Amino acid sequence: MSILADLQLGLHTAFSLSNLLYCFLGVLFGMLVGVLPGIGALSAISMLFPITFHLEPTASLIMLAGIFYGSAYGGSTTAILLNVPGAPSSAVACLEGYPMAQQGRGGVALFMTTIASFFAGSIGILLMMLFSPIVAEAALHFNSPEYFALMVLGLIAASTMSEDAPLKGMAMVVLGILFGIVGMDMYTGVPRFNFGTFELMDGINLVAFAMGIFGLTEVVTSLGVARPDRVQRVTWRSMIPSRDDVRRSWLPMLRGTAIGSFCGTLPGAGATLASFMSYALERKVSKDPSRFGKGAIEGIVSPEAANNAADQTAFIPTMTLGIPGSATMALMLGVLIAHGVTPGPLLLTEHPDMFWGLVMSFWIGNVVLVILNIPLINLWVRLLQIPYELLYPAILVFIVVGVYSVNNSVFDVWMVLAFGLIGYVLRLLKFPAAPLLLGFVLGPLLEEHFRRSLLLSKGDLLTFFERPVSGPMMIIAILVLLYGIPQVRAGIWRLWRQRPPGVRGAEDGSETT
Amino acid sequence: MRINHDSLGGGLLVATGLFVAIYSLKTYELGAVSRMGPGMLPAVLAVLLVILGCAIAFPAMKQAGETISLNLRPLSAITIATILFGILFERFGIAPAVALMAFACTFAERKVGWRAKLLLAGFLAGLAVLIFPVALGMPIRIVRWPF
Repeated sequence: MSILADLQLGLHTAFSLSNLLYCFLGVLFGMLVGVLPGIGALSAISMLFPITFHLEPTASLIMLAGIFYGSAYGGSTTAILLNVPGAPSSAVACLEGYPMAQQGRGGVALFMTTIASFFAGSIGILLMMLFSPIVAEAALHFNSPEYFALMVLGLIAASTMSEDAPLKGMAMVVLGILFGIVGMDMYTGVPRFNFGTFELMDGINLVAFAMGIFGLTEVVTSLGVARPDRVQRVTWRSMIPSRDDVRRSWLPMLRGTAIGSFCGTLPGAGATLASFMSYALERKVSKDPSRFGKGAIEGIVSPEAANNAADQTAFIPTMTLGIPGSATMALMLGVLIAHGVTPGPLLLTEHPDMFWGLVMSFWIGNVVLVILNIPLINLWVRLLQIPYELLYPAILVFIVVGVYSVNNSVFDVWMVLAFGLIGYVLRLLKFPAAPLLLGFVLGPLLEEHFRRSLLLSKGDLLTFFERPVSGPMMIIAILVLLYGIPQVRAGIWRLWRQRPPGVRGAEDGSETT
Repeated sequence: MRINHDSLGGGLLVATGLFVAIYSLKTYELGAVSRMGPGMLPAVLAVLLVILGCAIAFPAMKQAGETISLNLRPLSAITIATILFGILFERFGIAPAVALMAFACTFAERKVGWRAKLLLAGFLAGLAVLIFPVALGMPIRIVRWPF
């Protein structure tokens, strides 16, 4: 009813001096980790997680969100200049961006991706402003069965849609839920799987879990990997796009934004899938597909628009339903819970300053990122030349001291090491780690809603299928699950004959054609 | 049976699932569906994990074996560095613990010379002191002499 009042409140919150500062720090740090290969947004967010305990919840969210969308901007820079994706969602940017850089058109690629990212980010924010209140309103009538169904759908989608091996994704979700079960059972008060230790009574520390699985593992796997060390400088003049570039770019930018905005809100789809999908679409609609792979500007503008739009719209389900669609969003949820804020439909009415402040900080952050990316691009080019062997000891220090500082306990240091080793084994055996974290964060919520639903229905499992909202969601979840079975999926792919050959090749690193 | 990523990974999942299932059945009350005990969900999930593990491992056993190579040098350097920190931190304070951890972890790469190792260790110890106890005001001892 009073959207203007909300906006005003948001602007007021976002423009407070400290929130501006944290927004700036967040996007700066996000840009940094995005540019540097070998450290992603997920490990960066888990690294800064302990620091947020010393901040206000709004400031923490603003900062961590800044890292998240900032890294998408930074990731494409590395992809274009080095042919190495700085972030997973920028993998597609290598396909066309690096050839452009080799032709001396790297500046144009950087300029156009920044513009596309900003445009798509803005649309994503607008959608978030428009739809969050509506979704929250609808979700007010949700009860435990609805939440359970939503989470099941989210977890199944996350584990089957974006991964190559859906069974592995599902196994990781289940394992994650089991890790989440460690600690006191809230219905009976029995401590579970604490093996007699006092520290595990409260459950496994989220920070130790995330930093071990992502941070520590990433450090170990990034070591000993050869990386290119020559980077060309980008001049101002080389950034100016030709009239032809602009003409070719604006439609793909719109298409990418549409795909990204849609994928972002879906659980499990997210930015990486959105960027691959929009690249495939551009190839399909192009009048001259042979230009692709040789520096076609459409093939970089559209995926970059898609991943930035998706990064923004991903906040809609996280903030309004309390259900994260990706591992990064699960960490955001963790921040809220750690500060005693319950994410869900009531967040908008109970903490409007937090929600609208966050939304407004997105605008600020995106403007800052444009400044960081266009006038200050050579700063990042120089940063790319920092050797990793000087960088990783600092990352390790941040991880270990950071995890200690959460509870002032050395026990958590042992936990981060244990989860680092688990994460390394998973990486070694090619099991995806993101569904593990998602399962871990959602596990306790899932159990609570599952048990409460069955308590209310007196043990009738059909309750999930009989209710008007949870029923269709469970059916969709089952359909998604079926799609996840390799044989079923192969059949669907067979129907979709004209699959673009380059895209899948980029995804798993081997040409399939 | 052949060893590859999936047969090994699936096997580990089966083992984990079996352990959790047996442990929760032996230790916790199962309860009824309408009023679940603490052991119900872990047991169900563990069985699910065993099923998924089998579904991953069995088809993979028929496929070709793969060599799985450990990145042993970085793995052991990082592990030892973290253990050093865990042992030293509460006894000696943050500065020596961080310095030794940073020093130990530089052995993960061959490229770094002795002077760079020492410089890096000193620099990071100073940085950690500045950030954590000084700037963020965490209640951490900088240096401690326990003897």
